[in-house]
Amino acid sequence: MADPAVMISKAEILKMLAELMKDATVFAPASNGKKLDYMPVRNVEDIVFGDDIPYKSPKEIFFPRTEKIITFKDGDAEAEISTEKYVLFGARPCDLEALDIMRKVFTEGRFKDPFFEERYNNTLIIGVGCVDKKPGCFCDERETDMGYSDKCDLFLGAQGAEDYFQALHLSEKGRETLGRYIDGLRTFQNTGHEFKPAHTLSIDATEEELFDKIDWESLVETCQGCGMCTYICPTCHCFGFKDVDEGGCASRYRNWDSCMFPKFTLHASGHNPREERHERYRQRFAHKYLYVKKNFGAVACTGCGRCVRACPAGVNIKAIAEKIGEDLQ
Amino acid sequence: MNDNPYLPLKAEIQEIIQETTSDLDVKTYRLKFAGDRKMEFMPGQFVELSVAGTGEAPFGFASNPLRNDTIDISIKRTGTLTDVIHALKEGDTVFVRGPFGNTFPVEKLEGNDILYIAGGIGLAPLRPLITYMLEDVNRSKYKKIQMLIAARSSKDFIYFREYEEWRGMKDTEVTLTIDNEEEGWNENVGFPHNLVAEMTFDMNKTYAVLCGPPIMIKFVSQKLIEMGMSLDRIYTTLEMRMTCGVGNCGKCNIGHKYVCVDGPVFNLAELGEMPDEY
Ligand SMILES: Cc1cc2nc3c(=O)[nH]c(=O)nc-3n(C[C@H](O)[C@H](O)[C@H](O)COP(=O)(O)OP(=O)(O)OC[C@H]3O[C@@H](n4cnc5c(N)ncnc54)[C@H](O)[C@@H]3O)c2cc1C
Ligand code: SF4
Ligand code: SF4
Ligand code: FES
Repeated sequence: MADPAVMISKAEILKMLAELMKDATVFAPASNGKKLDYMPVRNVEDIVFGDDIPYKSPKEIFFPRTEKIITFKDGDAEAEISTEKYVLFGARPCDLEALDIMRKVFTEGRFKDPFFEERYNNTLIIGVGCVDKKPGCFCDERETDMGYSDKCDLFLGAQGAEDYFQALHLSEKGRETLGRYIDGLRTFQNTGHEFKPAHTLSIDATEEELFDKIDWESLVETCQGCGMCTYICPTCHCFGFKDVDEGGCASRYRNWDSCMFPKFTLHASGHNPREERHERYRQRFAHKYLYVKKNFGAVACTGCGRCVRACPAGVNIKAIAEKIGEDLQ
Repeated sequence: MNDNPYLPLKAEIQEIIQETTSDLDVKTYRLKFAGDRKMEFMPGQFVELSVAGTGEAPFGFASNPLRNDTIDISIKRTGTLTDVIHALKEGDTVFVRGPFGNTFPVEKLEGNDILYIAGGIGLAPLRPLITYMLEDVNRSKYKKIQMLIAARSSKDFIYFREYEEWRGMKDTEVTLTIDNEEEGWNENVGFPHNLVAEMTFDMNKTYAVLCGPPIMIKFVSQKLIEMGMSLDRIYTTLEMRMTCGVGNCGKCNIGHKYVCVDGPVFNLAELGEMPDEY
């Protein structure tokens, strides 16, 4: 792997981002005074380097909280496919792995989601490694290497001496970008680094066992059903549609929804298959740890710890997974 | 279908047929796609139908898949969107995307007797399969076809005008039943599961296809199982809340199966392996 590895300085990265900003929206870790988040930045000085993890995941770049998907014009329907160019800078390995799971769900099922796919294809994704785990993170137990992910176009290892980063290009788009914006690339011998998780947190059970043998009610007793965990999770992707009449021209919007809300599955007959809060939490958990794994081959929890940090009721998905593991023994 | 599963096709309501007469709550909409486009589908599949500015919901195809110059959708009034649809007139525009979902296993059913049991509007999603089998090109592939159609009252049957035609066909029986006695009603009275008990069929050569209210499905399947029918010979079609129809919005799953793509058609053996969450 000697070829794609180069050393670039922070100044060169900033110069590259400043160039990219000319015809793309650059999303990067920045602070709004309260929280660090992936935000559109207009000035490279606003980008926050360092090891802190943004509060929310970058999923809204690809799957916005609300997006117009259809307009009804002159009596016919037209799709609103985004053609905007984006750069996502500074995505953490857990975010990159999560984004790849979302990509699988949206593009590798029976149907392709063109709204997601176009945004994904029009985005240059630059990842960056973490140095330390933050409170709540359990990436190592979820098979996520905090030091590296190849699910991006360019990956920057942790910041080294004299503000130099080891950069790996992982796609043609990444290679081409480096070649275009960085002069005199200094290659280095990338020895790679080993990632050996101590143990892996996974659920080795059937759906039947998960439904019948676990006392979900007491397990998630404190859950308030606020849905925060689903909004903040980098792999959660539930949505609903809403039609709006905008001055004689109707539009259809796609909005984030949450499996934690009772109305989410309410039938026209009044019947609700997931009536109780603990049944809804069970759905959230089983979807991540069993269903996505069965349907797309990967557990949809990267251990980013965001839901753990955000939950107002102290619900901790890692502790829950561990408890389930014990209960199923 | 175009390659964007969310982009609907424009269709014109060519004809509106009032089905039930008791509370006027079911109407069949005959739709023609703009530009003479056709939607190819198979029995069991469904569409997402919308009125621009109001919203969208899933509805089963209710017409013969081999005659798709137009498609029929039968709609029961239950809420916001269906209220608006019921107020539409012939010539009005709706939007349709699809087809979605799996299909009844038409080939696997070949060479067998078929027992249909439908309750109320539950006959709608079965009509594509019934009419498909009764087509001349297909009729010889299936043996005896028995239909047990149940409705609350004599005024609640849908597609009533077609029963005579179905009855006139070779090896085809149609049994009607209503919940309570009515003046002038000469056919059966009583719940379908009680009538099933009196019917005879070859358990190893019959497939049962059920659709109706959950309580009817429950009692009828119990009876069929008691009588010795195996679970994989009993088919039904499920309804769940749905938005996308393509397996992504997260609303319709039962365990790892998504009713919008893996269903809506399942046999009872398949349902038995799924968590009880529907
Ligand atoms: C595969 C499938 C096939 C169907 N086929 C038919 C059919 O052939 N004919 C027919 O009349 N009906 C059919 N339905 C049911 C039909 O989708 C609902 O009656 C319709 O969504 C009600 O919409 P509404 O806007 O009028 O009601 P609303 O005012 O939206 O809703 C009334 C209640 O229904 C719930 N609801 C809203 N949207 C949905 C939804 N998409 N699915 C279920 N519940 C919902 C709400 O929670 C609310 O409590 C089918 C459903 C499915 C899943
Ligand atoms: S687990 Fe926590 S964040 Fe999620 S819905 Fe329950 S209270 Fe809200
Ligand atoms: S479930 Fe929680 S820890 Fe796992 S990926 Fe989602 S937000 Fe991160
Ligand atoms: S309807 Fe959206 S996942 Fe099935």
